[in-house]
Amino acid sequence: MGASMSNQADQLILHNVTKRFTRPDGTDLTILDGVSCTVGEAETVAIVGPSGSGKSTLLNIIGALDSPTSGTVHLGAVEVTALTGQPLARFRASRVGFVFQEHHLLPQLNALENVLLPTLATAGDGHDEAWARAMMDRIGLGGRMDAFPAQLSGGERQRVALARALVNGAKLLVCDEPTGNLDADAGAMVVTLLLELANEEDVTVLMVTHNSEHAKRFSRRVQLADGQLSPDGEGGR
Amino acid sequence: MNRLRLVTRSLAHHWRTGTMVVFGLATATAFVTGALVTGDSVHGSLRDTGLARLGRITHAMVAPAYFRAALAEDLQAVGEVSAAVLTQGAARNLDTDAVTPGVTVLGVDPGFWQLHDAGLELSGRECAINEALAGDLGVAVGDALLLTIHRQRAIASDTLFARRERQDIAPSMRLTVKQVLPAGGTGDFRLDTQSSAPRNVFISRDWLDSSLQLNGKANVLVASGEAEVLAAALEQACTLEDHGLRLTPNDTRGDLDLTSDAMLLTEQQVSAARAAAADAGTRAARTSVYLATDIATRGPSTRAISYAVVAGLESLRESDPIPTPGTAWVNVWAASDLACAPGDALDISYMVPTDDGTYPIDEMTAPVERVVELAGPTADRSLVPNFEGMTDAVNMSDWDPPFPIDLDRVTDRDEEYWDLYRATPKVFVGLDDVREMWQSAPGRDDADWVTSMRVGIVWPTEGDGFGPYFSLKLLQRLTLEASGLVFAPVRELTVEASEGTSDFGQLLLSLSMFLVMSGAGLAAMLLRLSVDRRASETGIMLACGCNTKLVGRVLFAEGALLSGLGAVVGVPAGLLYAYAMVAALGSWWQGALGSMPTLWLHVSAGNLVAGGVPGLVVGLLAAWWSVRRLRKRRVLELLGGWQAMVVAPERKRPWAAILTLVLSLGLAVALGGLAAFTDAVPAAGAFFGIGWALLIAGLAAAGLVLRSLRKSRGATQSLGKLSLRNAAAGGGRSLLTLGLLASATFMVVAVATNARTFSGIDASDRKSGTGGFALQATASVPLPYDLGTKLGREKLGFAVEDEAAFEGVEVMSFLASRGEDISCLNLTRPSSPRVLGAPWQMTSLGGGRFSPKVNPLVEAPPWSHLGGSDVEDGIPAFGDASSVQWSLHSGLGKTYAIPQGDLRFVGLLPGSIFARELIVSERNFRDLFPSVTAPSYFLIDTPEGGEDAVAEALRRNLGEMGLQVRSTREVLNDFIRVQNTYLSMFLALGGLGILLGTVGLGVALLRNALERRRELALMTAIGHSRGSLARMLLTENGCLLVAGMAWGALSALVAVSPHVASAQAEVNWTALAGVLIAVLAIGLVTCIAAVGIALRADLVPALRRE
Repeated sequence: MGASMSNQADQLILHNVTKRFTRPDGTDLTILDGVSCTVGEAETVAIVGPSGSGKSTLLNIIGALDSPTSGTVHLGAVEVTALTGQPLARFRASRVGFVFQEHHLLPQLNALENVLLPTLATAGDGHDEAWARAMMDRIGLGGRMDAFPAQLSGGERQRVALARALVNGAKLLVCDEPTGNLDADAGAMVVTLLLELANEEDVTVLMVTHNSEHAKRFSRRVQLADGQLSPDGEGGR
Repeated sequence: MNRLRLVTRSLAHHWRTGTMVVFGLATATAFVTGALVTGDSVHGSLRDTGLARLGRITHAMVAPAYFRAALAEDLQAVGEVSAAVLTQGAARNLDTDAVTPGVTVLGVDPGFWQLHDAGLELSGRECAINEALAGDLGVAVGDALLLTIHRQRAIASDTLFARRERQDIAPSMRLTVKQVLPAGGTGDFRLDTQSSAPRNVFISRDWLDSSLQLNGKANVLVASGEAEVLAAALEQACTLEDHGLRLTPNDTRGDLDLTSDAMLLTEQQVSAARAAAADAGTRAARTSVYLATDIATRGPSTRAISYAVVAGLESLRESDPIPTPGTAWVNVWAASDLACAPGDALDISYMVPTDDGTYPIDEMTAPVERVVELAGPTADRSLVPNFEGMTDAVNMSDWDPPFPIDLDRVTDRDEEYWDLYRATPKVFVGLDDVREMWQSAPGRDDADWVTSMRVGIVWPTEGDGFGPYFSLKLLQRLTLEASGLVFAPVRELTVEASEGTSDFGQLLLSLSMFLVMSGAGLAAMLLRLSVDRRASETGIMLACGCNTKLVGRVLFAEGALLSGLGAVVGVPAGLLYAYAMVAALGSWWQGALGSMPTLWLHVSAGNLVAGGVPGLVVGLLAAWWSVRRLRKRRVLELLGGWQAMVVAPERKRPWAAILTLVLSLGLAVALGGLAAFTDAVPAAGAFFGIGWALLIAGLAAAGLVLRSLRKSRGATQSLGKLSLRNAAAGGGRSLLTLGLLASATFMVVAVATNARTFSGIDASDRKSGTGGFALQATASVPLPYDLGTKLGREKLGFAVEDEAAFEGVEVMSFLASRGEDISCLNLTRPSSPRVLGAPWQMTSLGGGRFSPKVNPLVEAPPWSHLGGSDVEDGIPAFGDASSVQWSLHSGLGKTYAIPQGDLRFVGLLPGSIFARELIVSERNFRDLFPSVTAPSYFLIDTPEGGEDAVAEALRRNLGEMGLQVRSTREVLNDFIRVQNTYLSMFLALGGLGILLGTVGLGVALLRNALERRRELALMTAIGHSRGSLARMLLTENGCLLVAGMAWGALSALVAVSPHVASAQAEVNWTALAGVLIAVLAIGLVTCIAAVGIALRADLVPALRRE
């Protein structure tokens, strides 16, 4: 897989990333088998592949939610796979934003508060409430700031989750099938918003999707199969 | 956005769980706080009651003998001091004839009322009584009552010269009630620290003084002042008269006479006089006189004189001649009457007093050594102390002595001698001969016998000048302690005693332990459930960059806030609980506090804090533990939501369970065998062991059954089988639930069925707590004659027709001191326990009565341990095993100090009627309490069926003297009532605890159901209705609930079967069944509610997550 090298500072570099699980019978199952790739700053990459191919695992490793069996992940000068404890939490808080298939909003917080949740971790280093309010306007939920997750539609929840992912000024957005639970229109809207915001905020986006239409809208598409990453055959934008 | 906002938002969102957590913690906090506050209320009420009774009195002196009432005035300079006369008696309502024994009679001055800041004035026959006595007698202001009081005589009641007639020792007086004093204050005045309300009659001391001819004497001083100042002033103010002594110049001999109000000088007084004489550079010699009934010569022309005083002298100076021991000097008057000369033998006969009121004649023989002139020392009429009714008589024919006298034997010549020489001794013998006369009465072989001391005057030669000097020396040698002239810090003692024999708060806390544990356990489970349920939230926060510390702090803060809220709610709830408990202890559970009259709430900040802290700590620990568990999980695992139930792989062989089953069953069989075929283990203990073994065996078997169920096939054949499989899959958790329910039920059933009564026991069983005695009697006025003999009863005034009831009756008479009840009926800490002096019949023939537990290494009959003369390490004493352990905090072989000396427990009596007092031998008792000479405690062994007739006869004849007769079964029931009340409390509180525990079971079920949401969702997806799922969950948990409770109850019933089958069992089966059924019902309702909550939510998302 090739790499776009427009800006070295926030380049994402995966080197020989391998992930194995041990089955109950003691045999190994290799999900990722020496994956290497480089993603440039503000590049948008769609990752496609069959179910169980390890797409989510790869995203979790990139987003420092999981660790590889071997190999390294660098974001700029930071070796993500070497981080533990406080530096790891700081990295997650300030450098990466997540959007999951399920919105994972805290039910007890309203939309605005959910957006601001990551600011707890940065203690003021990220964007402030004014930014969050502006962002809520930007994502079309300016009038729904006080609504609780249970009062929001699926698309609205994902938009809140998207705003939350960016509130601390993350430069890498990791999205694991954010449209998987949404209908086509809502899904399209979320992807549009995602790409627009990425563009506006200069954010690198990695998104796993089964939707080829959504994938086509990304600057690059890669396919994960048999533990290996390869350029997707379908053309892109 | 900040942490506080997140925390408050979370608390508000999860308010249902939070409320339950707060409820659980508040419950635990409330019961801890309530128990502590109730305990404090008991102690505080005891203290307040005790202090209110004392008014401003700080110190009191209760002397064994009378002293000058003017002593109070002598001490006024150092504090407020008032003299009083304190004695016992019985009161009778003249209208209804209702009699109240055990009445305390107080003759008081206005100063007494001033010490209570009360302005009551009593005069003449007016009396004030306390509310308790008014209630007992049914009298009110203006009513008349007849008071029979114990008139304490200075002369020991077991001596020849003691007046023992009823009218002498127990005069009655008609009084009018001027005021009924309300309970809880002055009216309930008492100088010991006992908690029960006394029965008090207050009379004017002046009037009582004149009625009893006390001549300005009192036996109590009450004071408000400083201890050291009062003690120093008392030391200064006390005179010989206050010690009961008189020092008078003897003009006949030219020396001083030291005599005692008690007629006989004690050994200590004799020693003090000798030492004082040595200090003053002189000598003191002993003198003793006795009355001879007859003095006769031998031979064919025998002659005799009657009622002559015989004296024994000790040489005051080396030059003073005295009779050679074993011989007699006869004065010329007697020698003339007897026509005797030196060398003639004299038979001297004298009366010996006995308990049954007879005076058998004893005799001694002495040859005449010398005939002496009636001049000088041998003509000293003052050698004879004042004998009321004799020395004060004008003629001998006017004598009115306490012993039988045949005045026909008094001759004109005797009268002539009386006119000239009064009671001047006619015969002089060796000092030891007179000593033998005094000590020949049964039980008086080491009694006092010196009637006076002669003190030589050396400087100045005039008696008036040396007298005060010697007085001073003597006072320096006499100790106030020996005469009982010591102020006791009654206020301080009351405060100390109010701490009680045991910490009632701790006791109540242990009774409430199930509740506390259930509440805390419930809160902990809910906190854990709450945190578990929010695993995904934790995952989100971690994924958003919050570190584990931050997430932990947020969750912990929620737990801490809930814990704080639990404490904030729990502490006031605890006060309400304490209020309710105080009310319950004053009504339903009154028996728990024995004779405590009133109880009110005492709240201290310390207790509120101490009550709030445990709940808070439990909450914080539970929160910390729950959060800690989450911190160990991976972010992705947390993001995935609830942890699915994990069925642990089976070990190859369940060795631990099999071994436990075999060992516990083996233990049960072994205990059964030991109980059936040997005496090695008592049946009750063996069965209790068997019960526990069965409980454990049952749990081990349940573990094996669950294991086999996990392996069984066909779980999908029916929903019921699937339920059982699910319960089995719960493994450890199911077994834990089963174990907790079974153990808790076991405890409640085993304890609740322990209630007992002694109403149905065989009181004639000598080995039992009754000692084979059917009746116990206590007298307000010590009985001077033997209740156990026909003659004694005659002297006591028993009607002839009542004698038939006493056929075959055996009476054991015990001397009894004043003192405090040491049984569980007295809540205060005793400082001066009541002591009984066991008669020689008990110590020598007591044999197996009461089955005392003694040192097995000493080979002697159990009761003979009490008669031991080795008092170096303490006087041998017996005590009730429970009273000694719990009230005195002592034990077998240990020494226990009472104000009169050290006692050493050489025997303990299990569950006996002696729970209120300690027992020493009569001989040792007399040393400890020399002023007590007549018995007031009786145990009566009646022939079968004769119990009621004897009791009636005793009440009829001695009721007015305050004899209280009770069946020994009733006495034992008094003590067991306290225990039974505690058992009722445990049943109620323990039942509530299990009830709360079943709510915990519901929470566990809910947690289990939530963990299995995916499984339930799947079952919904494949066509099971919610109803069938609910049935499945209920079957799983209902089986555990029913099985646990049933096995626990069954094991407990086996454990207590010997007791339940015995005549002593008094089980409230209705209450027990009610509690268990309520627990079962609430448990099932809780399970249904939990299942409802678990299945109410949409299960589909859970399935989607799968």
